[in-house]
Amino acid sequence: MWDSFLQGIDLALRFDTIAMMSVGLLLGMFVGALPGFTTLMAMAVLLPLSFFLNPLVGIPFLIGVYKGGIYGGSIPAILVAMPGTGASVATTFDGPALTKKKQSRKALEMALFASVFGDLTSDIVTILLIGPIALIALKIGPPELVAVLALSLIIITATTAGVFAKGLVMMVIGILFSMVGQDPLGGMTRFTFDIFAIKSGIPLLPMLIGVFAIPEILLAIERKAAPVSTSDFHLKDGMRLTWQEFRRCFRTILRSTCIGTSIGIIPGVGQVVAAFVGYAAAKSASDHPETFGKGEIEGIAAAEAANNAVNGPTLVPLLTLGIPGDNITAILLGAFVAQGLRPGPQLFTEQGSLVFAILIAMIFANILFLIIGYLTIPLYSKVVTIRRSLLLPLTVIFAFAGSYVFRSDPVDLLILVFFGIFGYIARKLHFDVTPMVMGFILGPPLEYAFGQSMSLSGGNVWHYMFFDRPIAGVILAITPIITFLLWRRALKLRREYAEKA
Amino acid sequence: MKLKAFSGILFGAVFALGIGSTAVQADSYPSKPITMIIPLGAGGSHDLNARVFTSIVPEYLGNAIIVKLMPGASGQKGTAAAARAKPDGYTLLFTHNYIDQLQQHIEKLPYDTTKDLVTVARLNYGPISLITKPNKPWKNLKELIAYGKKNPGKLKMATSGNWGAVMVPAARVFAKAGVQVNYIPYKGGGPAFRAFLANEVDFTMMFPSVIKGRVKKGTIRVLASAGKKPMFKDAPTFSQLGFDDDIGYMNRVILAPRGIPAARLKVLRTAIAKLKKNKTYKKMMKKLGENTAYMSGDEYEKIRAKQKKRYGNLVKKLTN
Amino acid sequence: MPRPNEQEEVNASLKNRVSFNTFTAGALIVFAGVLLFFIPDLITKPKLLMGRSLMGLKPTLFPYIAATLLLLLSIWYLVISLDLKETNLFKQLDRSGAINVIVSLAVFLGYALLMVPLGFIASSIIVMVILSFFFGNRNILLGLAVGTCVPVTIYFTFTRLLSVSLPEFPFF
Repeated sequence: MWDSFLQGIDLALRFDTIAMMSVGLLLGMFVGALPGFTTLMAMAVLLPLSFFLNPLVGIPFLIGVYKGGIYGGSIPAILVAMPGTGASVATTFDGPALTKKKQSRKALEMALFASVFGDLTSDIVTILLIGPIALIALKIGPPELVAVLALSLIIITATTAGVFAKGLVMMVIGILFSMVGQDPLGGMTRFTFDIFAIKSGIPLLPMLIGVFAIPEILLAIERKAAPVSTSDFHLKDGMRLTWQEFRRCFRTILRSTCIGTSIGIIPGVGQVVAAFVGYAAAKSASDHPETFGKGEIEGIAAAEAANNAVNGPTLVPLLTLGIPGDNITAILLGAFVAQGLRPGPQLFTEQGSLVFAILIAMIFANILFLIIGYLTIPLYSKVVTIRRSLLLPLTVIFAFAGSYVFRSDPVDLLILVFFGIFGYIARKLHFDVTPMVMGFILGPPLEYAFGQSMSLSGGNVWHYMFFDRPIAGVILAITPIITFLLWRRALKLRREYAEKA
Repeated sequence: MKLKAFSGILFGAVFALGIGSTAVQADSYPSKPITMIIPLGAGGSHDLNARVFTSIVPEYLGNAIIVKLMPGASGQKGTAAAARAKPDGYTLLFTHNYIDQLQQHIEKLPYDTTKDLVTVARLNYGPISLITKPNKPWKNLKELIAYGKKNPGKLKMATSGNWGAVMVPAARVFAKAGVQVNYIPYKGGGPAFRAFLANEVDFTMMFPSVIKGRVKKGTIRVLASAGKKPMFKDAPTFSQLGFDDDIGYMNRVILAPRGIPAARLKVLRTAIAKLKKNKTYKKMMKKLGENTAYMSGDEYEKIRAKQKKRYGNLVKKLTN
Repeated sequence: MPRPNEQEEVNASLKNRVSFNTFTAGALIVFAGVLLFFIPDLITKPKLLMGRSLMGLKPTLFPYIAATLLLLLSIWYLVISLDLKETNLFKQLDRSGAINVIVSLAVFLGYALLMVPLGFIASSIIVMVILSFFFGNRNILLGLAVGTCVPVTIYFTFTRLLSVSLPEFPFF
């Protein structure tokens, strides 16, 4: 094992590997920054390229695209409140506010550093603990998923901004929206009113762009006639992130990394949920939660560290068992297989050094990630210097283009506008749309896993959950405890806040 | 005067170009890239097969093929788009036989695949195997069926989704044998395989590229396989055990809207037929673990008709 | 003698406390109720496989749970809405702001409906030029230049480089 590891280091230190990884990272960041264009699509398109390259070059290339993509989404999220990928939605809570305060550079840097830290740490953990992680990943089945998803839903809703009841209402509305279309288990159509266009449900990305980005645009439009205040004219954007600020957020970054890594181990949950849970956890652990959502840099650190920390462990089921955990790892599987490599236990014994070389290349990728990201930030921050009258229409065009390419369906554009109006009204009536998005995203997997668990248990769900699947049982047992603790804390904070006022 | 002359020339030029381009189009199809719709998600075996296909076939076609992923509604979205597309040969559909011929019996569809789409060619097929763990009490398919008959509803099988490529062959086998199986749907072959490995279920069905290594090592036991000849040692084929001979084939087929001009259909079919002799294509497919069992469009059309009947009977028998 | 005054005060303050939140909660209650009533009609019934259901859950289960939750939560919302002090931001919207929003939404809707018939490039150019003018850009040349270059660039980058499809120009 150990000599494979050492050989791996040797193999990974190739110039073409490092060169192609850099190309991959750049491409990934570029594609991630384009809203509607998911990292998945980019990897699917670039996959054939890897067929013609040496596996030590082609696979790290694709991994570079993956990492770059998850980070890239935060760029438009911060600059124009448009999430480039689902994983960067949580970055839109504080990013645009920071941009308005002329601190976009600082936000971009924090997003980069947090992402790199989260990714690097989780990659190291993955390499060191690959065996135990594989065992856990194997055991995670539908019942465990039910428990984890329910817990995540509670945590995220409990820390929502504003009135708790309204947050819960939004969450349920999100769940109802997610039920439009085919039910996840049997494909029976629900709530479609026989309109074929929405038979496959409401697509996520147009909805996300609609509910987060369009209201921002509309709010900016409202004030079109207002004169630009000269007071913040001299505030030049370009304030850099200071070491103290980074250190202040370090605890959050560490916490988010743990959360992201744990979620990465569980196949089927993903970066989006990790970002939200990381954000929610940071907000509830903070002693000034009211600053979150108004331009708190810690919020960006929390979201970005968590979503990148998912990347490392997601590869474990693929490398150790040969089973892809999600669509992205399915593409990586294709890349392996096209090279004649069959990931799984045999690959470790027969070509251990190759596998380790790829893992080590991943670690190098993070360092390249940091360098390339840092050098390109000045480029991105130039975006805010475009005059508003042109920037806003540009944002609209990107929003529409991105919504269309997601599924090549013009109905998605109408969905974009619909949710734009929905998000705008929600904003005006003091409803937080985050719980709705969470309900929408987590509803179907929750129902699916629950249905599977019902089938698996053959009838006695509760007995099955707690006795045959102890992990699930434990998580389900601690959910009410955590709910209670969060509720108590929220109550205490509200009391303190009311006293201060 | 000058303006009139100028506009006259301009008009004439545009007119000529217009005529010229249509003339050019008729002779040299394809004169622009062809779109190939895949009604499934990214990263699946169709996606991977398509990427190999589209990187080699332009040699014979003279123009590129662009993959357009349109997942949704169990493949209905992409299929509907292809069925409704202009039948000019610039839109193709890359799908499999379950989406093509089975779905129409499960629910009402806004299209008729047999009427609206014609087969260009079958690229290859995936033969499925019934697999279980070696420590289970049944050593072959007969014993599994016997156990199933004695304990109806107790046997758990992981599928890649209801009425999908993994469930339908099993449903056919167990319907004929009269065994009630508890089918647990997972989101695709990967999660189903994980569930199988983690002993969440008793058995499942999988394609050779996924299981080859483990069968060799002995951690998976194959009870039966699809195909004319046995794929694995000690595992007979379904037909050898007395089941229908077309059980367990996932045919990857390229379809086109039925109004496609005969000349253009011929161009496509000829190009794909030449593909099977291409060394790089064969090598890449082999690496993917897939075969290159090409079948011509006309031959496959016959299979389609047979399948439509068989699937109809299957669904009627199983659902009441 | 303070009795009648107190009663008046309570009545008055109740009226003051009814806010947009109360109306929203009321609307949600009605919506949830209607939903609950119509759920069976809106969901297709599943086929049974050999006498057993193919799925662990009936497809109506989660919708029923969700709709019931919505009803209960809306009632709770209604009750606490009388104590909430949030301001309806729509009231703060002045006439010109409202016009801006409505015009923009009309443009968005038009864009959504016209992108496929007109093709991405054409519709995007129109939208960009209109919106940039509307948002205050008076440099016509710059507006036209950016308004044309950006959609064209996006179109070719997306379709040629990234091989995803955008609606084509319908005339060639």
